[in-house]
Amino acid sequence: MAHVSARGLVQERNLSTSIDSEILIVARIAAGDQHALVELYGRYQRPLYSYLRLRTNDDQLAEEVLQDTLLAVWTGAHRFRAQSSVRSWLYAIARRQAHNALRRVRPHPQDELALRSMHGSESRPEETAIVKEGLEDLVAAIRQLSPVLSETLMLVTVYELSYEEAGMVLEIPIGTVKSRLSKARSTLRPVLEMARGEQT
Amino acid sequence: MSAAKTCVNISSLLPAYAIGALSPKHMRDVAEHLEHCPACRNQVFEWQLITAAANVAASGPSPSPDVLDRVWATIQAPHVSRQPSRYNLLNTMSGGHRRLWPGQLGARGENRPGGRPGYLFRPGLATIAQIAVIGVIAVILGGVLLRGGWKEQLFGQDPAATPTEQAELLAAPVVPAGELLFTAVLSNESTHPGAKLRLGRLTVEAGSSTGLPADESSVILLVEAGTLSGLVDGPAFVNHGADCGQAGQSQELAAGEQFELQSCDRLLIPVGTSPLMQNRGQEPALALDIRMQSPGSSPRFSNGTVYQKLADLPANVLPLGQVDFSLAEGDLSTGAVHEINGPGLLYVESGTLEIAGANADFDIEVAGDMDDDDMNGRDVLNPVEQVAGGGWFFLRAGEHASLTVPDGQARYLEMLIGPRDTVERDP
Repeated sequence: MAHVSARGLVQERNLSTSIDSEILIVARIAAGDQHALVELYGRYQRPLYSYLRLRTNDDQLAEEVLQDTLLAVWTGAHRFRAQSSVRSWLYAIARRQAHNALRRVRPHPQDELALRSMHGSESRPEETAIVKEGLEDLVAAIRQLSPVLSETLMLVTVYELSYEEAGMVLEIPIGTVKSRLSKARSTLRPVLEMARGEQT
Repeated sequence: MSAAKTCVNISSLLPAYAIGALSPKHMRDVAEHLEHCPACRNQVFEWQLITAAANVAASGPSPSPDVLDRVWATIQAPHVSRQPSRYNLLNTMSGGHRRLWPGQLGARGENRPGGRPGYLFRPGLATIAQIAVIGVIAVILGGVLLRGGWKEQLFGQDPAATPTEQAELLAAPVVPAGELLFTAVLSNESTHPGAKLRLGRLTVEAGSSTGLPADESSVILLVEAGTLSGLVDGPAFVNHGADCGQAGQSQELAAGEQFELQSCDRLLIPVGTSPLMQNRGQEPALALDIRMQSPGSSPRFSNGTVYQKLADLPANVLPLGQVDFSLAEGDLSTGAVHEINGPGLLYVESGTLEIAGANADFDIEVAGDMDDDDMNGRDVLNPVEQVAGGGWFFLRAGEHASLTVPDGQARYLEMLIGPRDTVERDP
């Protein structure tokens, strides 16, 4: 496990530098610096788009919401108080934009249903090459998780938000983040047992 | 500290450990524990599998390369007003370059003499002058609008906001608490004896604390779920179906008139009006979408969307149905939950929560921290206990409780936060 610790140390240092520089980027955006928005977008375009695809289950809509998110960042950067990380601020904005977009699209704002239906979808072609043997069932099981469990799981494991950041994005206490993660693992346990057997 | 206790403490860190996202100290603590704990090592392995699978599940194409171009096109459109224009104005009026504060731009509050804690930028005298000028203009505009059929200007508009408006809508929820541009005051039941009150009076105040000029702003209230009914104490307007793209039907309400809002409906409340509201819906969650609207050359949403978070609700206005909320020590010294219908889930983050059924029987199912597994890896779950009316139950930090009371029967539960671990569970 030593290598993991070393990775954590490196990440800690890099994270600190990254957070500082991202605050400055947002400050530049607030001052009207378009290059700063380009820079921020360059850092987050893929994870944000991925997250929005999960939220909307619609590539086209996700792209529109991504634009809305960037607009919100542009017009709202002056409101950023640096009391949260830029990363969690961005995801919170994206989440709210997706919510608003789904409100517009659907008569009833059941945006969680999008996640649910997305989870039930079949695997996409681009995934098949990268799915390791034994993980297909686990991927499918993750897609079957309830929306709240799935979103929490994704924010922490895929988008690498801290519990505190995930709690801020989801507007829930840290304890709830932890319990949702634990619940997700419990739900996945039967499939995990199979995956473990094939991986070991 | 026992090995089992250590496992409980460590367990919640393992998802972050698996991706190397813990602080160095926690990484070391976990690694040390893993040396002699095969159960937790198994968990780490499981989290690594989950992380790998989750990344696959989230994988997909990149966004189109022209996303930013489209954003710039929208930004440069004439109707788009960039919200931080006061800074641009500041530059123009002061004739100088705007200075950022040294240090971490408000991250921790140091190096900002005279600046408000947590603020990223420092408004200058020129800004104050601008605000004064804008305020005068706003009052004049507001007066004109009030005399000149402002409701016609505010109603009948396309409910879909422009991208800029949406952007502004989005920005508001990330404004820290206490800096919202309006306040929603939830009154308690004692203010309205006899009322089956879920959400109390919404008061929208003008003035410096809310950032709202007195005459020009209104609140739009949207209901996402449930039925919100109420009574207005001043003129207001309800528009049915307006928020679902329908040709809404407007209805003017005089003081004392009742209204009923469902999903797709909107209520426009002028500043200074304080409607009394209650949730009579059967849906488990009542979510209100509150927007501010101020008239300008074209009416638009000027401020934000604020979702009333369940966690922010005082315990005595707990919504109907299943609720998932937490009570943190310090947030609530004493509280009461009225009329829980159906199961509710409690989680205690710190301290000890005493739950007493004043006049109600209730079933309570308590799980330890959900990370607390038995030897077979199953969550430890205490059997359901039945608490008779007048009885009480202690829930300790880290525990979850599922409360169930018979549907359709009003119940009254009291909750008290006690000091950490000073009370044993069994009375």
